[in-house]
Amino acid sequence: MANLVVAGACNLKCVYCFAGDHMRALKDSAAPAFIALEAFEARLDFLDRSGIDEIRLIGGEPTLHPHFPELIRRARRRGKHIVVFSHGLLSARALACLEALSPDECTVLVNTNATRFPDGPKEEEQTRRRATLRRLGPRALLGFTIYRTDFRLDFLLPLVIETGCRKSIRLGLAQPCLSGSNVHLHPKQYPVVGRKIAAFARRAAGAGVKLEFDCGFVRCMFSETDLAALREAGTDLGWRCNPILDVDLSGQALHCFPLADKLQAPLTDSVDAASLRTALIAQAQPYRLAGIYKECSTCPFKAGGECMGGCLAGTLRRFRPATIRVVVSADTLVTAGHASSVALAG
Amino acid sequence: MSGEAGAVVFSCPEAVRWVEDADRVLVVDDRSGETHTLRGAEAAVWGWLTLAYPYPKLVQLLAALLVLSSADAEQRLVAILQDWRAAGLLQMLEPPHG
Repeated sequence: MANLVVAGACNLKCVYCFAGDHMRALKDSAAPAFIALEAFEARLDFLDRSGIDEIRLIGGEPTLHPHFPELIRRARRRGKHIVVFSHGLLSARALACLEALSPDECTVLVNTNATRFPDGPKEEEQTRRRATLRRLGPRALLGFTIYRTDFRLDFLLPLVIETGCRKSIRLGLAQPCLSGSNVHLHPKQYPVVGRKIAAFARRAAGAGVKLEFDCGFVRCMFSETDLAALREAGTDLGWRCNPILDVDLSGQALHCFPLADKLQAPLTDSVDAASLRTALIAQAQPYRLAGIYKECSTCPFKAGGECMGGCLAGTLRRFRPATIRVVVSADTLVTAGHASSVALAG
Repeated sequence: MSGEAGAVVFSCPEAVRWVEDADRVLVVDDRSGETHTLRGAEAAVWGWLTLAYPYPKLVQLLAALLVLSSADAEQRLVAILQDWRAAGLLQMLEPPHG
């Protein structure tokens, strides 16, 4: 799996966006806002030599690419299943090109709470998104990013039924950029969020809709009762945090957007996804002992590898620089039998 | 950057970052990617250092923690600091000349 950034631009302003820092940095560097077709072909070559049959297009908003239909055409020519991560407010042209693909050829993950408004989507956006979803039908998979504890998911169930999209909802937790510049959930809020998700999973199961979890969920955010309910509801559970492989416009493979500045490896003409993933895992390794909570260090689920300990960006934000300064008299070092240290210092 | 005359200053390189967990202190050196797990007395000393406790107080606290004499606690403390210096977690700053 690898996500390919094809657009560094987005026409919405989700407050929880974790790609914002990286996109702003690219913009400041005068890099092009959209992938060139030649570079896109190189990305397709990368997928081919990596043995990946699926192409996952991300941004910014990937459908804003001025040659979006051409990207789709080229990807299909290589036999790739298309996955598009979109805010769902598509242009007529982008929508038409995706509609022309069968549900077996195309998945559009629609972030249903993407918006240009700081307080959440307005009715005009939801109306337009609904219209898009009706046209996409079974090509569409609904997504929702949880970034505050007063979230509501119930509007998604009639949306699934009404639009004929896939009977699955992908939930994401708003994770922090390393800078913390985006709105994100604090791990202290996870148990509250977990209870609400479990309650919703029961209602969704009644409508024949299953939930799936994006990365960064942790096992301890759910009680055993809620976990049982989630399993009974057929939820695709996972306590994951692994290199996504977000390949950005400059040809860097990022562990993930939140860690864009910290963990990255260059995409060369010979490297494949497996070797990039290995390199990024190695870069992340020093921090993997820790988790998002202090208690991750004594957690049997983390020790046993069942849970990764939450989002690595969240974990890294717990680390602090060590501003240590202690003055020891030279005499003390000598007395303590460390005269060589004084000699080195002198 | 230099310490008082006749003194040695230990400080932490910028690339060293740390986190306190439930049962340990984890220290990561971004330069080498090495992770150091500190427990017990070492974790306690590291915590005190991050609170900017002066050297005499470190000796006093360590003596109380390990039930040692002042002299023994000081020897233990210096050994810990030197081990950390050897591991790259601390660096020694130049003492003033003259």
